[in-house]
Amino acid sequence: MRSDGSGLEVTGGQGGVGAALEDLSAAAARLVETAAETAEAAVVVLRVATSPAVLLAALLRPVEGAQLEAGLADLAGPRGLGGEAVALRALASALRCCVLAYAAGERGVAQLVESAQDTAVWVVSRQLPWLATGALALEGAGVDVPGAADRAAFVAPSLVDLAGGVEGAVAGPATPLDYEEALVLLARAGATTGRLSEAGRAVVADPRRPAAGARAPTSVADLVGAQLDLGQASAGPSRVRGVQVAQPDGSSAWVAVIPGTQDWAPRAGANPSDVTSDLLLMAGESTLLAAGVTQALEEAQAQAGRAGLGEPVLLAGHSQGGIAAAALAADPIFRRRHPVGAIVTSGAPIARMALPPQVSVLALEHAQDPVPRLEGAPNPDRRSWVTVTRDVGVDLTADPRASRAHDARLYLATARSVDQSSSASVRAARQGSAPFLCGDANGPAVIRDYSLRRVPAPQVLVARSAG
Amino acid sequence: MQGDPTELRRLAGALRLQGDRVRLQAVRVRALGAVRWRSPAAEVFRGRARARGAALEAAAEGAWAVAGRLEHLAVLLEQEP
Repeated sequence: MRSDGSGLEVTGGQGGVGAALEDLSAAAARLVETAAETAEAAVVVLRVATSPAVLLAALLRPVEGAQLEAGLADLAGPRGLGGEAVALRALASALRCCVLAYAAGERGVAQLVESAQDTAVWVVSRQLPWLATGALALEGAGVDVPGAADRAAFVAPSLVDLAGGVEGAVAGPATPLDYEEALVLLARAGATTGRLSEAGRAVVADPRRPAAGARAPTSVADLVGAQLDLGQASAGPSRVRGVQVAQPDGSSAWVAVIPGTQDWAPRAGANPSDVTSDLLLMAGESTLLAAGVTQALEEAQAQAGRAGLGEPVLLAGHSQGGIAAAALAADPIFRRRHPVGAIVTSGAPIARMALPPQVSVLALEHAQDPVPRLEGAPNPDRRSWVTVTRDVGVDLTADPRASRAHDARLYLATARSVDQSSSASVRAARQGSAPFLCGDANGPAVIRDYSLRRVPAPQVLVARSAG
Repeated sequence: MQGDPTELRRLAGALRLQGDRVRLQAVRVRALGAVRWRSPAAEVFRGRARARGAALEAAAEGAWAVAGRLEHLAVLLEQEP
C-alpha cells in the first residue's frame, strides 16, 4: 500500500505489486527471447567457420586463416555467443523462480487469513445463542446494541473481515466450501422461509426526467455524485442512469450508474435494490437487478439508435451499485454484448469478483467502512485494479460510526481527492476512463434515467383433490 | 586469384549483421535492469543483467572484428597472382 501524499492509500494499478510481478515475468520472457536470438547468432558464426570458402582460404593463407578460425571459435564458443545464450537462459530461470516465490508467498498469506477467518467465525457461530441472549439482555437494560456495534465497527473495522469466513459458520473450520458457495447455501436456507430469494422478472419503466442539475460525468467525483442523485428519496425506487457520451469518431461510449441498497427488508419486494439482491450478487448468482440494469442500458442504446453496436461501457455504483457493476463486468455474456472498459465503485465488497484484466477497476474504500470488507479479502493487487483507501477518522470525530463511514456523501469527498491524486496508478486509471468522462467535449451527452421494478412470478396453485 | 573472396565478403556481411543483432539484444538486456523491483535479489539481478549486457556488447564487437579479418583475407586472396 502506498500513500499518494494527500491522505489516500493506493494499492494495485501500475505501481502495485501485481504489476511489478507482471513486469518481472515479462523481463524473464525477454531474457528467453534474447537467449534464443543469441543462440541463433552462434549458429550463424559456426556456419561461417565451417563454410567451404573459409576452409579453402585457411589453406591458402594458413597464418591469417588460423587467426580467423580462432576468432570464430571464440565467438561461437562457451566464452562467446554460445556461453551467453546459456547464461541468459539461466538468468531467466532465476527470475522466474523469484516471481513464483513471491506469488507463492502471497497465496500462503491469503490462505492463512482465510483459514483463520473460517475458524474464528465457526467459534463465534457456536456461541450465537449465547450472544443473542446477551444482546437481548443488554437491549432490555436500555443499551443501544446496534448503535454500539456501529461504533465498534468504526473503531475496529477489521472485525468485519470475519464476514469473509462465512463458510466457517456454514460448514465449520477447514471447510472445502468457498465463500460464494457458503452464501448460496445461506440464500437457499432463507428461501425456504420466503426470504432472501427472488423469482419473476425485471421491468424497466420508460425514461424519467433526470434530477435537476444532472450532468454528464467528467470526473470520478461526478460519478459518485450521480450515485447520490439516484439514491435520493425523491428520485424514486431503484433508478438507473444511462449516459451516452459522444466520441471524436462519431461513436458513443456509455456510462451506467447503479444505485445502492434502498430496501432493507429480507423479503424480496418490488424494489430490486434490496438486501436479497445484495446476497445473491455476492454469492455470484444471477439477479433481477442486474437483468434490469442490462435492460435499461439496452433501452437507452435503442432510443439513441445505437442498439447492438457493442459500444464500450463504464459501470459505476456505490455499495450495492458497485457490487452490481462488478457482477455485470464479471459476466462474460454481458461483456460480449457490452464491452466493459471500466468500473468505478465506492464502498463495495468486490474483492472476490472474477473481473478480467481488460476491465479497469477503480475501487474507493474508507478504512472505517465495514461494507467493502464484508468479503474478508483485500482487493487484488494487479495492473488493471486500483484500490484507493481513505482514513475518514478525522471527518467523523463528532459521530464515529461505521454506517457514517459508508455514506455516499463522504465518498464524494474521497472521489474529489482521487480526481486530484498524483499517484501513478490513479492517474493511469483516470486516463483509462477518459473516453467515458469527456462530457460534452465531442457533442452533447444524453442522460436517461430509468426505474427498475421487480415483478414476482405468478404463483402456481395446485389444487389438491380430497381423499 | 585463388579461393572465393566474394563469398568471404558475403560471410563478413552476415557476421556484421549478427553483431548488430547481438548489440541490440545487449541494449534490451541492460534495459531490464530498470525493472521496478527493490530487494537484495533485485540488486543481484541488476548486476547480472549489466554483466550479460556487457558480455553481449563484447560479443557484438567480436563479430565485427572477425568480419574485419574475413574481409582482410578476401583482400589478400585478391592480391594473390
